[in-house]
Amino acid sequence: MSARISEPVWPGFDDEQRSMREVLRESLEQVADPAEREQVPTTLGMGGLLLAEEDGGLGLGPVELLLVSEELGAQLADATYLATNVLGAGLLRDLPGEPAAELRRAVAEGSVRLAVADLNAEPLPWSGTTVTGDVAWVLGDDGCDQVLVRTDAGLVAVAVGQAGVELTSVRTLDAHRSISRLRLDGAAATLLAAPDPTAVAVDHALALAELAVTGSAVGGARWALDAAVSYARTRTQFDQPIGSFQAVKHLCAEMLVGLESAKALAVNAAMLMSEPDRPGTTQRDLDAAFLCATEEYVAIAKAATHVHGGIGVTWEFGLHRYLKRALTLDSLVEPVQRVRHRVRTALREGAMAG
Amino acid sequence: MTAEPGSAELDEFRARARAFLDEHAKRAGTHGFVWGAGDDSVGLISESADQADELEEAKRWRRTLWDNGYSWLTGPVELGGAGLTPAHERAWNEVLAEYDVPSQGPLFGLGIVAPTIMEFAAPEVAAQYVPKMFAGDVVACQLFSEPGAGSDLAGVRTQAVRDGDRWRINGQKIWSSAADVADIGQILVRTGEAGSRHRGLTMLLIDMRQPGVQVRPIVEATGKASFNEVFLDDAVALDSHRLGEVGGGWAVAMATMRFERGAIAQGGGGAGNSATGAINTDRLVATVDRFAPADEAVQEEFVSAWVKRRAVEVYGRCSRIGEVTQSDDGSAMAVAKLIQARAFEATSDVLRHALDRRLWADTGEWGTYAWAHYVLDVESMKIAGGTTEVLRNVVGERVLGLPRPAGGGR
Repeated sequence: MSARISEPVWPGFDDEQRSMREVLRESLEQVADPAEREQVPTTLGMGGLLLAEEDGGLGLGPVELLLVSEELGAQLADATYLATNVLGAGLLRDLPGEPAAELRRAVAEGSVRLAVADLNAEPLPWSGTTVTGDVAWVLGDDGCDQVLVRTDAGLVAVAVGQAGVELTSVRTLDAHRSISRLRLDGAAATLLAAPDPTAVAVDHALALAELAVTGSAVGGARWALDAAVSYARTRTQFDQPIGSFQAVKHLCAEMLVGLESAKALAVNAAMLMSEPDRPGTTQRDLDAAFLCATEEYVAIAKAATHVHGGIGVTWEFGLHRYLKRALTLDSLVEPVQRVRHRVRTALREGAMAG
Repeated sequence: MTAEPGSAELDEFRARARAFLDEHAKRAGTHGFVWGAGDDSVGLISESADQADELEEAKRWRRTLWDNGYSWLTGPVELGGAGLTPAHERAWNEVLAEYDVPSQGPLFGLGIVAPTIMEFAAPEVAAQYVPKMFAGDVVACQLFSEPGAGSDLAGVRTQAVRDGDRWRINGQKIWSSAADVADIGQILVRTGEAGSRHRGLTMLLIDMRQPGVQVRPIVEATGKASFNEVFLDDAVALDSHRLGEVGGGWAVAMATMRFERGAIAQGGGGAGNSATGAINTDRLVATVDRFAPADEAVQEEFVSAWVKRRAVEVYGRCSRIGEVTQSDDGSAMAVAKLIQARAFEATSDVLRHALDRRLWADTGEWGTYAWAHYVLDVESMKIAGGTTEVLRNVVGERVLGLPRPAGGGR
């Protein structure tokens, strides 16, 4: 940190943000079916959270995104939201032209589900009307309506279910998230933007997705900690609640310490992202939040499993779903090595500038 | 209580503060760190051996602040405070961060003992001492721990017996920072029967410069002394200088420890330095890149350590997001200190792995062997102001609501 810029103090969530969170939390808790739960944000009109009002969106920003992601993550219900409403909406938000606007309106009203092909992959060749090539990593399942793909001519939308498009879900550890392979063979596609605006949109979308994953990790970790604590309060051995034993109590306390670190870094990142003109280190702070939250989620999910003893590792109890989710998050959107490398480079450059 | 200031008022205050600091202090350069420039020493705890100079410098700076109305921003006007709001204090700290000013390490009692006196002493006693503390004229220390009462503070045995309008105190205290230079001490004594635990404790304010008080520095693993033993042989405290009720010492001690943990976590207090241990991030980067440029394991470890350090810096500013940090019972400070402990530990490991044998054998190279002191101090920091284990109990019980152990023990 060379120039000393005074840093913002988090004012806390405002009433609207808090009530938004409450509504989402309660609505999610009322839906038992995982697939239906994925639809809750759109049902509540939060599908266009990040989109402008003229596109049917809410015109909200990173802080609200963080909050929504946290609640969805706590219920393992953010697969559709991350692909369609965060990455998809983030890519589409500032693109000119009617095709992009049409897709934005569809995202906002919940009439389309998007898959997003690896934004860091080599762009596929664009023939002028069609695309051909493979992408090994697509966020989204084979039931999505459209796939957003980077080509050498810019971002395109490819309708799924037409000739020349094979979108195949692959087996993953996390049953609540689908990853697919995409094979395009002369598939018809709609060009949404030229390479330059695409590059800007990709950076924007990746940052929003990074924040959303951070929020999701915080939410999932919170759920796992709550589960562990309530179990430690009620489960008795040696005639005492196991939470009265320091070995268990301290495990839980450290889970909270990790969660608090992650929450603080997450709101710091969201706050900085809300001030786009701020000089300095927003990406670095976003990366810090992401690395902290994803790492702490793994630690917390493991510790929560451990506190539950044998019950924790059973299929029926379901804690394994959180552990599995935790194991996937750091490399879901971008390889985590890339994030770590980015931090390392930013710190080195900061030191040289200093 | 002054009304919440508007942003125009705060801007005006910042401008005034900058004008004052421009006149009396050096603006920190934008060049935060230059390899090889200046003293390379790096520790977390201020030491008695260095204290004579450091103390004088700290006192002089305090006096300058006092004379200009910046020493006690939130203090009441009638006691010489500026009568401003916590928002002003935050603004002041922001502005202050732009300047290089003398360390306030030796005056750590300001953040800990002064608020305790304000809350628990008779008004005339507060008026007698607190303004002088903020003016840099009176140094205060804490006298809590004993050889037989560390984490189990309720086991305090130093006894105070009533003698007319005063108390006679006999016993021994330990781990007191700045006791060797302090003018007054806040002492936790047993006034109830032996074995009366929390209920039989009272807090008194004593004159440290009396014949019944003897102070002996404790040399630590670093070879330096940062703490002291204090022997009390018929030492005297006036009953008018009692803090809180007779038998009410426990509540006062808890309040003081909240202030202490807060001060440590914010980087004042016993730490005497910034919350992440006074290490410029750029210096860490330079150290790692100079001595382990191609070591992937160390580079990875450094990124993880930096994230933990960043959490410490951010936590205080961004923590109003949950139930934990809105509470006023010390839980937030316990969490803050545990977050800090993680950062210290991670930094210590990175340094060890990056510096290799330079850490423990002095080659004379700038900025290498000096880190040994830091690595040793980290171990002290995990004990001072509440051990990691005690803090985990606080978090487990007060924040998470986990039950206390059966039988009251640990």
